[in-house]
Amino acid sequence: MSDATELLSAIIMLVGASFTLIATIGLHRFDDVFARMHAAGKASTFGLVIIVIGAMIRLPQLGNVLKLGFVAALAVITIPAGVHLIARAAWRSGTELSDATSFDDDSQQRFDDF
Amino acid sequence: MISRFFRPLVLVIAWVAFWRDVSPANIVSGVVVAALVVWLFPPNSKAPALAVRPVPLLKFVRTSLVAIIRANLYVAWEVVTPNDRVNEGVVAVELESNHPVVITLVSHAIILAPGTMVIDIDLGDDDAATKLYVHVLHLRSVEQIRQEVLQLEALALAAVFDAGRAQAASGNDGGSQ
Repeated sequence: MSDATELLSAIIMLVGASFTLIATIGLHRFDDVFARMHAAGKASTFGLVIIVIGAMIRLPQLGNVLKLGFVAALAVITIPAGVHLIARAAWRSGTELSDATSFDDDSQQRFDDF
Repeated sequence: MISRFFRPLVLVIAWVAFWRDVSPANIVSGVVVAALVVWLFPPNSKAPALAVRPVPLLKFVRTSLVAIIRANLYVAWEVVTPNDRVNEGVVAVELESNHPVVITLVSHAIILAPGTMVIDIDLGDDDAATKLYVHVLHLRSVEQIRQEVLQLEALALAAVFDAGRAQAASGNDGGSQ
């Protein structure tokens, strides 16, 4: 482990952590449930994947890289399913949306149906 | 036939990898767990078979990755800068295919990119086209969102259908049986 790779992995992990931090700020700043999910659900996944890449550089043994790869892959595969289910539940239960939200005809129809 | 054993095999490998030891006991317990999972969650047998095509699949992955990274930077910028360009909207997009794997791939790619999120899926009746309801954080143009989703779908179709079937799928209501 040379100083250069250590520095590189530290920088990459900090970038990843910043994305997670920004996701949390977004959670606070945005108005309604969907806007918040855009920040919290996805930006934090992106942050996690970047942190995993940084960790791979720090721990380059095959076993560690595979395990970290599993972490990233499972997060990327499962989180969208969870995000979709929470969003659908919110949408179908007629949660209060931000006033600025616009609909096209089809989705207005769908929204009114629920 | 291959796919019948592929799923349990991946599960067994993952199981053994998690225990970090290729011992007979781990392999046997892995096979038991894999059998249980496959029995509890049988694959959707109604869906037509798919042919995975590596090069178009890579193209699909690359296109969605670029979109995801760009969207992440955009939303991050939006959060840290004080000006507020948020314009939320819900757009209904009618897909050309109604194959579950294509719908899953497209929705997945849409949800992973911040700023766009599938909040409802209308599978419709057998012949009806599938409708995705996409929530957009920075809505500029409804048409543009539809274009992007359909472009993604075309890539997904190319990735998992062989050429003949892709034609059939876009030709007759998404190739249902």
